[in-house]
Amino acid sequence: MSTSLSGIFFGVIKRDIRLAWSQGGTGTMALSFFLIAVTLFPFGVGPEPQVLARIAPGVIWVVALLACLISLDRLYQADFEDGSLDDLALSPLGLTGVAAAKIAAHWISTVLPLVVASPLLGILMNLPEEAYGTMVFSLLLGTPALSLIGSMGAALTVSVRRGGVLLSLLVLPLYVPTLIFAVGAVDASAGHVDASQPLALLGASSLLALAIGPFVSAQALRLSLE
Amino acid sequence: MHKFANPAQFNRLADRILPWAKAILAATLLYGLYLALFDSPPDRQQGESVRIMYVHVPAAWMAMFCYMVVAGASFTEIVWRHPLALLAGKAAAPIGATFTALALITGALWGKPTWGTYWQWDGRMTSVLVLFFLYLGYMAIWRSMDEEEKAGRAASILALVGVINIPIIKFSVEWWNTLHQPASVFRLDGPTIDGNMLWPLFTMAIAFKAYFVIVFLYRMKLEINRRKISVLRMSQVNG
Amino acid sequence: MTDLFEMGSVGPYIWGAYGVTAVALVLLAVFSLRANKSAAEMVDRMRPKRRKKSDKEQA
Repeated sequence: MSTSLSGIFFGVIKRDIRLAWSQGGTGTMALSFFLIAVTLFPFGVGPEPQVLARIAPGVIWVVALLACLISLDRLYQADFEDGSLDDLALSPLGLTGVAAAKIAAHWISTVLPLVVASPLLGILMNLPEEAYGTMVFSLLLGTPALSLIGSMGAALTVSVRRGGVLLSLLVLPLYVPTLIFAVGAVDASAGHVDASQPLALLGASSLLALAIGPFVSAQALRLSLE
Repeated sequence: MHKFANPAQFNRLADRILPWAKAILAATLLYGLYLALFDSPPDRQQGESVRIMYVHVPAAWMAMFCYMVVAGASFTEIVWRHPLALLAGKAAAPIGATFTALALITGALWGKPTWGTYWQWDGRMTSVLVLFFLYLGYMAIWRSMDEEEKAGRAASILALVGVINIPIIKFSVEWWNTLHQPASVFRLDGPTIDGNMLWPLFTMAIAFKAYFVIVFLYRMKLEINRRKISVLRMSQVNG
Repeated sequence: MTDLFEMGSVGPYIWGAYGVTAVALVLLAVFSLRANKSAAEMVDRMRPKRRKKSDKEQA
């Protein structure tokens, strides 16, 4: 195994992606949750195409957000419990780098499949044709913020037993701006309105999350490792 | 006992401030309530329901102010590891959560006769609701860990992350409205407020602030006593 | 007097808002003061015990 910084960084990413898609990993579970939860809505609100089309962007985004959330509570916990997080913290990469690698791995392994599956759910939810492009683009642009913000919550609750509920309490309010901008963008495209401004704000929130996410996660992890 | 030196000084300072704060609270609360309920005219547009504003607006101010106290304490704790700062955040959060809840409830009670609905998903109400959730998260994380200091530092990190969130949500106000409910406008127009309404508003705001000072100081004392108890317990176990 | 309570039909909302505020703030204050009082008493109860113990240790 290479000991260069990038070698360790990509090593962590590769290992986490492999774990996420191995038996009982979070990747398959989050994707299944995403598909099943969205199909509940036509049963819940009724199958009228207009109603579904109206709520489609919000439903797909909210369920993607929840699917991301349920996969987050084990982001650091497994490594924390078996002690490998201590080893990683001592590697030349530093905790901030480790957090960045694990966040990247979470996004690639768990969130990217949701983005790929989203057009299929768009069909089931009768999403207006002109909104598909914006929806996929908004997911690509906005979901990194979900992983980054979620990572902060996961790091804060890493030593809490059954921290999942606490994690959602901490993270969901912080997801609100991302959700507002993202659904605003998709709704705008569905209504033939220019979506560039909400998309710019969505990108800005992802960048802001990127600026603080790995650093804050590392600070929070250090608390539990002390 | 270096650990006790600071809190003892704090307790002395608190005991000096408390009587003044109580006197100010009593005076401003009585005068403010008199102004708000009896000696101010009904608003031209809002009618009598403007009187709710005299508790609603100060409560909303206090909700923000308390969050700044929590965030300031968190910053002090993380940067300088000041032991009292850790407790200040813990002491201020429940007061802030209460004021936030009151701002939401009184706002809803104002909205029903004025807009015809208790709740509108408008930017300001949404952001205050998120503020309430942030307080809940902050308090929940304090309770989640056995080690006080660890829990407090984790809560502090959350409080500071939450600070960044507030301006973002505030900024989204216009967006939210234009995209979802262009008709609903939540506005306390500057020019429509005249002196008759400013006086009760500011008197009540001072009363609320004095209330905060009193309850905050008592909660600080409470946290210091709790800390003392756990220190004493430790020394009994170890001794 | 009825004017004061009805306030042009919005009375219930106004009194509701003031009432909820009063109840919540009083409860918070009472709870905080009481908790502090019992914690302070607890500290007082624990202190002498500790001193006795350290006296014994010294002896």
